[in-house]
Amino acid sequence: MSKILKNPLFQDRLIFLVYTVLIALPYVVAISFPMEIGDETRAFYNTLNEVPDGGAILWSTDGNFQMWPDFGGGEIAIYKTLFRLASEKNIKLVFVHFSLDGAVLAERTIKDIEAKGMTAGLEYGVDYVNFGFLPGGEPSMKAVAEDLHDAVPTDWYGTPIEEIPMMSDLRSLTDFSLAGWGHAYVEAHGRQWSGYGVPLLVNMTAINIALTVSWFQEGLIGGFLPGQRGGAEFEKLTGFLGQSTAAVTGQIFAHALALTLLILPNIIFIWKKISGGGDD
Amino acid sequence: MVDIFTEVFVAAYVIAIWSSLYKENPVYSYVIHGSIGAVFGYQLFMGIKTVWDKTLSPLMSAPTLDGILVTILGILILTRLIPGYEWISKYPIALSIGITMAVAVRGAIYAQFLKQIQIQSLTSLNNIVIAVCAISTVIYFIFSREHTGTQYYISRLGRVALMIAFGAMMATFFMGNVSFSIVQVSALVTPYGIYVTAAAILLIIVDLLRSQMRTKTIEQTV
Repeated sequence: MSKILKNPLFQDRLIFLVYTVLIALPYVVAISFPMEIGDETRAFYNTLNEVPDGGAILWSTDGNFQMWPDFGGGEIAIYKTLFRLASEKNIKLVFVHFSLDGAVLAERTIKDIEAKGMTAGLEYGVDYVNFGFLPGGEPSMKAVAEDLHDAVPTDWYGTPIEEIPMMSDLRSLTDFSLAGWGHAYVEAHGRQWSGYGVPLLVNMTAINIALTVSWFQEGLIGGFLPGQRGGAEFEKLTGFLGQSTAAVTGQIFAHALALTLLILPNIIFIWKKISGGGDD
Repeated sequence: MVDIFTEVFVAAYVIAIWSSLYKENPVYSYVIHGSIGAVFGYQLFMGIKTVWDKTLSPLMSAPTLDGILVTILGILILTRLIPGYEWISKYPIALSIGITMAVAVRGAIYAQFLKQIQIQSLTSLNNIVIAVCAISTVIYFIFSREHTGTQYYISRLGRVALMIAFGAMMATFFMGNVSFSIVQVSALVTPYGIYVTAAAILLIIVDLLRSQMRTKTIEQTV
């Protein structure tokens, strides 16, 4: 038995097995931990809710399919909140995406929300519009900020922008009360959309949280959702519990396992050193 | 019926990809090649659709100088496929990269440089830490002078700051990657996906027993 346990191939497989069981456990047994809302998530929530009655929000979903498990939960909750705000405060919603996958994911999210009846009372083209995918990366982001009508002449379904009633007063970023995006990075949109005096929000994957903190601290962005954890916090604040809330307990278990695997072998190693045993 | 098929298909797909954690197997290879093929097929279709919707279709209905110019530049990129004329494609690519860089740098000066080097005041601990860490990290990267005396201690502090920063980035990187697997694992415990999971576990047990029996047989033979 000891021989098998020392086999690195077995050790790897054992770790994978324990990891899989741990992250699957919350989906089988109802386990939850108390969750504290982080400053950046609260700021995100407050900034979103501070949009005045009759205002307009520009939102862009720019991640790809691979990133969706991380920031998708938060993104779905954001879309639901946006449509709720549109209903309650007569806020206009404009969606434009700079990633192909993002455009597809956003359309699917909007269709799901429509199917659930959460857009009741809202009319496409009057209260919200989806311009779909706009290729070109950062120059396109700049173009949207400068002149939306020039950058996206038609919506995702081919309707000319002049024929979309709500777009008559929305020409550039300064006409919006808020802009935001879902992506792995803060940089590209941040570079092109900051400096217009419009509050910015970011829903991002966890991978680049460390690089985003300085943007938040310097006031360049009004708040951000840090990955799945941020998504879960936002779901809790808005009441739209979903994908992130279900996943966050798995996150806690995975982190506990990682810490155990970091600390335990070192304790054993030090203990063996002190007791004069071998290093194996 | 659709739900049953979707749940079973997604669970089988996830297990097939994760099966490489157990060992290399043909199912994993088929699925991974199928995934890559599907992604490229999707990208190709959406790419052609975008070119048609955003450029060619408007060009045919109402030609503009911008549209004609962009189409010509786009076609010139394809010259890299013609032997002897590859050099022509470098011009539209250079133009495209040049414009992107110019736009990015223009935005970066305000958002990533001017705004981020401003420290409001040294009255809060956060700001003091930022200032001390930023200066000591810059000093760590001064290689034109030997790190001795005071500079040695400051550069050591910079190294610690870098280690903490990289540690934090590594931790969030881990957190992000855990997220990817957590959402996938949810497909394995859906009402119908669980049957696929049970079948996979059974297969692994059979394979483990078979391996053990084979090892015993070899040991007895030797």
